[in-house]
Amino acid sequence: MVANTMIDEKHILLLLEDENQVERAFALILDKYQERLYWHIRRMVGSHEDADDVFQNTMIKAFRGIKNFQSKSTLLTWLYRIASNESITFLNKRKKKTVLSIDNSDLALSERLPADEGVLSADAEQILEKAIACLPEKQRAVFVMRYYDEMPYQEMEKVLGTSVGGLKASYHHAVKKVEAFVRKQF
Amino acid sequence: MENKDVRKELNELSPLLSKLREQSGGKDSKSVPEDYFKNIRGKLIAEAMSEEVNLQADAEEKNAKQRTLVIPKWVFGIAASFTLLMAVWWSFDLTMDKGGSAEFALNDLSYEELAAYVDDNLESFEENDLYTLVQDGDLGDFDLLDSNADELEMDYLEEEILEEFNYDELL
Repeated sequence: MVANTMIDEKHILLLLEDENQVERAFALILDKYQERLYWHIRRMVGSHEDADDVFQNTMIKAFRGIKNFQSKSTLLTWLYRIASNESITFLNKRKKKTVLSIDNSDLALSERLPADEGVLSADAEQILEKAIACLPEKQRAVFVMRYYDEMPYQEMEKVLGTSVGGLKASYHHAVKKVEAFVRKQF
Repeated sequence: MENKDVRKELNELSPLLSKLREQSGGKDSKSVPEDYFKNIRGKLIAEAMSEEVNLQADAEEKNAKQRTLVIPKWVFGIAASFTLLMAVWWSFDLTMDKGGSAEFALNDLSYEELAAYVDDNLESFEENDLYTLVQDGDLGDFDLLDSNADELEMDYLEEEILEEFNYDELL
């Protein structure tokens, strides 16, 4: 891991102003945020193969748009927005490819999650992942950002473009659905 | 981030999930291939730089296209102005030519030609005009009015002079 958590976001933005420093700025962004973004995407889409594709698309799109970044939000929030949009787009495309209904396709996704992935002691975690895979895309994004990343609603509002009230309601429904799924498995 | 608030909220919504989260520490059990982040970093930087080069090339190509489009516009502008100037000049010149040539043609006519023209178009002339010409001597001793000069003179006298004559004065 090359990440340097001490790198200041302002420093990255300053580098981006210099055309000759764009490569360095992009490298610093990857060092600082790539793992968080990857895991956000991974929790959204499920498998590493899909997450890898979506993550690469996310970062290339971020690179294309970084020169127009206007600092209306933090760089991380902006990157989260791209990652969330890419993940939701990917999930929608995948859903269209299946002949199954929406609910069934979510269940099918949860069934596709590899049971033997990760450490053996993580049965509960695997059940949780399957439960998350059953959530609708937007609800899934809200749950992942709140449950795993502990993101404030105000930040989530900027990422997803949904009001704080809507996000709270969405998170509430997601938690109840996941809890119900987990209880069924035990 | 507001960790305490988030955890408190989760505990209120679902104690079960809150407990699960505490056990896992908010980390999932999924793994990534070895050196994935190291490798993907290099791959993404290479891809981004390649894209940057392509973008610069595209921008240069676009600029070049724009430059080639600008040149004909200037040429068209100049050509249009030149055409307009030529049209104005030609139009002006034509008007001058028409006036000049008409005058030239009139001056160039001989006395006989003029007289022949009048003779041929005698009917189209007003009698008064012809009489005036005769009186002024513009037609000199030309034999044009031999046949009807007296007649024309009488007509003129009737129309112009006798009309003004007061017959009452004769009485």
